[in-house]
Amino acid sequence: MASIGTGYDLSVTTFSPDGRVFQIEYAAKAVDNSGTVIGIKCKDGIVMGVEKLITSKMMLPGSNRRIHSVHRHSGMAVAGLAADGRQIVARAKAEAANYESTYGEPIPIKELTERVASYVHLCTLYWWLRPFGCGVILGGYDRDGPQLYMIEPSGISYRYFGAAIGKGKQAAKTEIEKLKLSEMTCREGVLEIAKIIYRVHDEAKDKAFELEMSWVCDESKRRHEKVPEELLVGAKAAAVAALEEMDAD
Amino acid sequence: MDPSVGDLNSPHSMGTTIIGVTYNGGVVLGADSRTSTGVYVANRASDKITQLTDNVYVLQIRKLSLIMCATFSINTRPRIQLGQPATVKVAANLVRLLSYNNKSMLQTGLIIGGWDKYEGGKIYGVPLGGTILEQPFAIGGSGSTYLYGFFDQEWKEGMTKDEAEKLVVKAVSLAIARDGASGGVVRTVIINSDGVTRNFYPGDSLLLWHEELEPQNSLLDILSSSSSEPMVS
Repeated sequence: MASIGTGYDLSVTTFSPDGRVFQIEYAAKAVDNSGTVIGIKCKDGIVMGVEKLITSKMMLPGSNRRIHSVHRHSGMAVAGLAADGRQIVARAKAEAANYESTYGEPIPIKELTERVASYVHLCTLYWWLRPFGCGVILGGYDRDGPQLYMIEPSGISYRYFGAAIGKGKQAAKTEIEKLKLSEMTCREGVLEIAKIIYRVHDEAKDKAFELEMSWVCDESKRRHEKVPEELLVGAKAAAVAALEEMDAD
Repeated sequence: MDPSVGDLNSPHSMGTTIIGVTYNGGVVLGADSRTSTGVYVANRASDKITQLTDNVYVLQIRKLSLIMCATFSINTRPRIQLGQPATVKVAANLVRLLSYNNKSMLQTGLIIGGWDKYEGGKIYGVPLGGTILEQPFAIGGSGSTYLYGFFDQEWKEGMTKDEAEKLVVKAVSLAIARDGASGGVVRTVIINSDGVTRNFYPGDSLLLWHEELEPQNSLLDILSSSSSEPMVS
């Protein structure tokens, strides 16, 4: 694992002798401690799913949403510090609205990602700001088709077929790589993501979790929406069944 | 200054005819070429069709001498940010922002037309106040008042390129026949997936309409052709 910074990790404006900025790496650790977030690009759209860890039995189901709509055609799933995530989402919404009022068309997803990533990066440049402690998976459907991007606390953003962040990201990435995404529709993708999240959830360490999913695809008329209730219920049931089958082996 | 002569110090204004029509696969933009200051024709072969980007052109009617130099900002902004040429909608919106935000200083009506790979051929009208309106065809300028009925009858959806260009040339020449502030030559620009084509139709190649005289080299030719009485044919 990473060595202790010994003095080079006190400020985000300090480089270590081997060229690392420790504060940013520590921010990434905050993301790794949160529940898993997955996004995949299917042939007709994007599906995103979040393993929302429930900290108290008294929490109302459906509260503390981790997936937010940024614009009609795009949404963000957040992993890491939830309050930081709210800031990023608010900024993304503002950027999207501003773009549309200037250029008269919905913001292209690539442009939105670049603006949000610049904003995240901005907060790693000054000593009086701290980096965002959250990573974001941004999925959207514009005139160039469905696109999936991931933005890390360092401000780096890449375009992906499938992305995962959070606790179970390694296991999730292995599972996603097994899928044939270019032939999959979003309906099938919803089932697959539910299965993956149930599989990477660690029963021993964390107790309860709630599955939150959203999609933006041809079936949702290219609008970013929560996955319809019956589909979600069906996906959860299928995931539980698949898990039991695996345990039985 | 004798008012009957006309005010040669009047603002360099453009009574004009400008037209943009969409067809099946692109757009055709057309305009006359007369710039008049009062009754004096300052430029009889001006080019009212300005390039905004590779695939978007704009027609302007200018009533004040402040000219919208929008080309530079419109070309660079989307291209640098998005890494691809602007779509017609984006270019039109940037133009209308300039028109809307500076409406106290500018008086200009514009027609923006172009072709992009997402939406095909599109025409956007940006009249005086700076609103933006997408239209299948648009006409503007002092000469356009004579063309509303003509377009009501002649406009069709899904014309071919040649039909559209013939329509534009016919319309501009009709306007030139009736509007004193329009005249000269007819310039057209055709924008489609293959690129941009500029065409030029000199005034004497246009059809003559009702009661129009044949073009003459000199009025003396008419006078001397028949009786020795002047002004009697």
